Amino acid sequence: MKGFAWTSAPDLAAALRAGSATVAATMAAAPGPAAANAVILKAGGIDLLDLMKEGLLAPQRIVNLRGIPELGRIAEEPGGALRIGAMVTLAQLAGDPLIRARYGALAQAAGGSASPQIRHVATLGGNLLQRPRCWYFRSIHHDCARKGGRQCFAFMGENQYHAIFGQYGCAIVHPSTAATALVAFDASVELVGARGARRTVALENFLLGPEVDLQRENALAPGEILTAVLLPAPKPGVRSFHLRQGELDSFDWPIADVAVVLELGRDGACRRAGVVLGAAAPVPYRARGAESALAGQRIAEGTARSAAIAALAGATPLAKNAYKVPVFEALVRRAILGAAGQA
Amino acid sequence: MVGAGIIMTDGITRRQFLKGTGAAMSGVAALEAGLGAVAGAAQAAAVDAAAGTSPVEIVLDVNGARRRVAVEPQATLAEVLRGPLNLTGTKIGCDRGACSACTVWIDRVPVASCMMLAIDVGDRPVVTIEGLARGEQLHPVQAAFIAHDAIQCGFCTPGLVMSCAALLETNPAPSLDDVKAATSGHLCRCGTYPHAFAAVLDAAKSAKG
Amino acid sequence: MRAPGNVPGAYALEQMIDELAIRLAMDPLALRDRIDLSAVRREERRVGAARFGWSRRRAPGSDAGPVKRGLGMAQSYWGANVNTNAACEVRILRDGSVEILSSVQDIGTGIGTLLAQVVAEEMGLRPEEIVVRIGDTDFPAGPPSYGSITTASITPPARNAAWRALRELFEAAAPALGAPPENLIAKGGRIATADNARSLSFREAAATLRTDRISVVASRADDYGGFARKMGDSASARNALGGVQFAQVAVDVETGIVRVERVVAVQDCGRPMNPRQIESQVHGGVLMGMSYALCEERLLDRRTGHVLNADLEHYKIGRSREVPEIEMILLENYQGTSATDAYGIAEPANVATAPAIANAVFNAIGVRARQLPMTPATILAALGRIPGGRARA
Repeated sequence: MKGFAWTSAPDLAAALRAGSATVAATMAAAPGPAAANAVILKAGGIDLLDLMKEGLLAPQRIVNLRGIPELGRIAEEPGGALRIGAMVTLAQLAGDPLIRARYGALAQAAGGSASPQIRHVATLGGNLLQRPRCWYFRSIHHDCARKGGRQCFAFMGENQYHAIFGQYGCAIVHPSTAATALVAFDASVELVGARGARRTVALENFLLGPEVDLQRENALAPGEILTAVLLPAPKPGVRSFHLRQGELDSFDWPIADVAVVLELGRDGACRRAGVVLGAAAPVPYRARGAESALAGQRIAEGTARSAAIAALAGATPLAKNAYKVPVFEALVRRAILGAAGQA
Repeated sequence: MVGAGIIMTDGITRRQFLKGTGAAMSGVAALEAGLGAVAGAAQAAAVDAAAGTSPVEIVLDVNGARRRVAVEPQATLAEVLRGPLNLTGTKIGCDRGACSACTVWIDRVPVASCMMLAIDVGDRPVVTIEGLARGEQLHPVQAAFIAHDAIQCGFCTPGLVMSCAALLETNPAPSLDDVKAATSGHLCRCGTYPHAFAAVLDAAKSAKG
Repeated sequence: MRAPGNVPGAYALEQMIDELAIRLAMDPLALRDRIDLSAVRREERRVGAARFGWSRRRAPGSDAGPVKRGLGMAQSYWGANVNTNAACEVRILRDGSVEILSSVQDIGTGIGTLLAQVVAEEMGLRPEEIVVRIGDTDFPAGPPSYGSITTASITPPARNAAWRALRELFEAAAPALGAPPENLIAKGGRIATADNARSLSFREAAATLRTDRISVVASRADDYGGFARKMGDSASARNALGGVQFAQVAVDVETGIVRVERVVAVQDCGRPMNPRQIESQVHGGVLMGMSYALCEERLLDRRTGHVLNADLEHYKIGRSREVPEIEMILLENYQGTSATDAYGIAEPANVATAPAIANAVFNAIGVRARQLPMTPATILAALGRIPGGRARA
């Protein structure tokens, strides 16, 4: 790691005054003075240190957000919505009784991520803003499209862990499994701008596919801080489930993960379904076909199977990742049945 | 070796210097350790005032002792423990948080010290493998590891022991699945897991009885 | 990583034998009883099959749900390798301490413990009383730690050096005990007359030395009756090593995930010196074999020539949650060909695991994965479940 100056921000105002750059913009500007002079905000620091150790990022200054108490809280809002501070760790998410009771798929997704060591440090904000794990993107030897180069090496190369949907010039998958669950719950992110202006954006709109921007995975603006994730109050009859499948069960990235949120009526019919696929596309992939296949239906093996097939319709796998299609079909079906309590 | 290099200060021996460079330190320097406690608040202020990339004096609470040490901001906790603090029980395997050989406790939970900047530890207590035993009396997990031959090359062992001991702190009667979950971040290339599992379950049993 | 070259070969050969048995409509164990001349392997198959419950084996695809279970077995063969450029020095000091010195190195195999055991046994002391000094090339030549040669190479000279050093101690102590040196024995920390009538503690006996220390260097002799092969410092004992392993797997045919649930490993390594350490080595062999079978693969980008997974994030190695139940049965196979009669274990314990798993996968799902590792992509392709069938099979 190259040297940098270090500041610990005591409060949000101080962090905003630091005038931070986004990691994506800094990497896109490298090499050059804009990258060398960049001020980067640090949450848990897991991805930040990884990028720096790989020689992909060398900021001039790091501003630590760990000392800002308001970013580390989980609080129920009037009306039942839940506000999760950006500095809440994955371990806290996985263990929080309220999240486990109301947003089970999120607790499952967070608890299944990485290792206990990482979950104790990695934060929800950092998890959502981490950069992709694509080995070409993470390699200083490959000047890939996402880093400003001319090509996506994955299309012609080793793409077994890459996207099966939405590879518009870049075949990354979004690295956050928490995001898979959050999109299924229609979560939003709260962003505070340099002048203190707050805006709330649906997470699904905040995360950007390569067709919108090839070099960044989200709409975070320079100087802006992701302060919280907002989960809407759970509607009656909502049940959720998250399933991940790695090649290994211990500390491995998923080859597929699926979050299902079902709103079941008293008659047992599904009023509304959220079905989201992670590790499938450059952003969490909302399987609208599956959602509409479930709407109005009673959940059973057959409906779950049809929805799973609908979820994978239109997949465009690459040379080495077509195996993900049947894996996803199995996971979607199982997660639907799991959410309905029929697993 | 990367970074601005080791800063030599008065009193550091050539041997300590070589030890530091051998462990691929990225810029950490030993000052007098354990002398003159600095209050946590004062430390935070000193950190805030840091304007450049030069070493910053911090105080780490390691194994119950306050250790004053000058670190460059990019020095990881693992590097500072192994280098200037001479606590070489903590191992650096992958240096990316992927093998968990560097596991220590911060606030009594296991973390990867290679992915934690020393300057970011603040006043949170750190416990390393050297701090687990009480004097000559080994921690039950350490004793059980020896009894079960849960050690082959030994490189993953200190980190693995820290995770297993942390598990027993929160779950005194773990199942085999609990042990596997708690150790799922560790990599043991020798494959000594079965003996390690047996050791932890045995340590839990003997602690109860 | 262990047994380089042998594992890929065994992966193919042991699956071919399994396939041959199935084509002949024979139980794979029965076929091996017909074609395998080794009496050791035959006994290993017998005890392993009984412990494993081989008779539970069913036809492929017997399970109704998506998770299919299967049983398989395979064998390993490994030369009983010896490095004759192996020596050690044993010292008895006048203060009663005993040291063994060799440039052999302990990379986790436990050779330091074995050296202490051998010297202690010879001297009538406890292993913890022996100071083991290894890993320094200033000491007598030690064998390298590869080829599962270390124990077989360095423990016989350790015993021989200890034996000769003890004879010198007997010479020195004989007058004090009023008995001829050939009538002395070392037992329970004492040097005694054979009839146990008179004795000195080891320390008292050492105090009779004329000089500060006795020092004896011994090197690895040829095996009694000679080696099967010898070239330079490398030799192979007459009786090769091996083992038989049985694996139970669960294959999810919808996701292609293979999980190993249980392994029974029957191994031989001459005269076992430290069963618990041998068990550790066998665990390592089985887990490396499992990892090799299921997930380990170096990925090279063919266009740019860079290894893409030169890290522990994407070079996948089975960890805690992948560990199956592993049972070891040691077949004590006395050779009577060296001073310790001990041979290697690490690699013979590794060779059979991957093909045993592959044969179990076939027994589970009725198709054979002919490519390594058996990732979901490999299994789903073998099952014909990948749309377009473009993935490798």
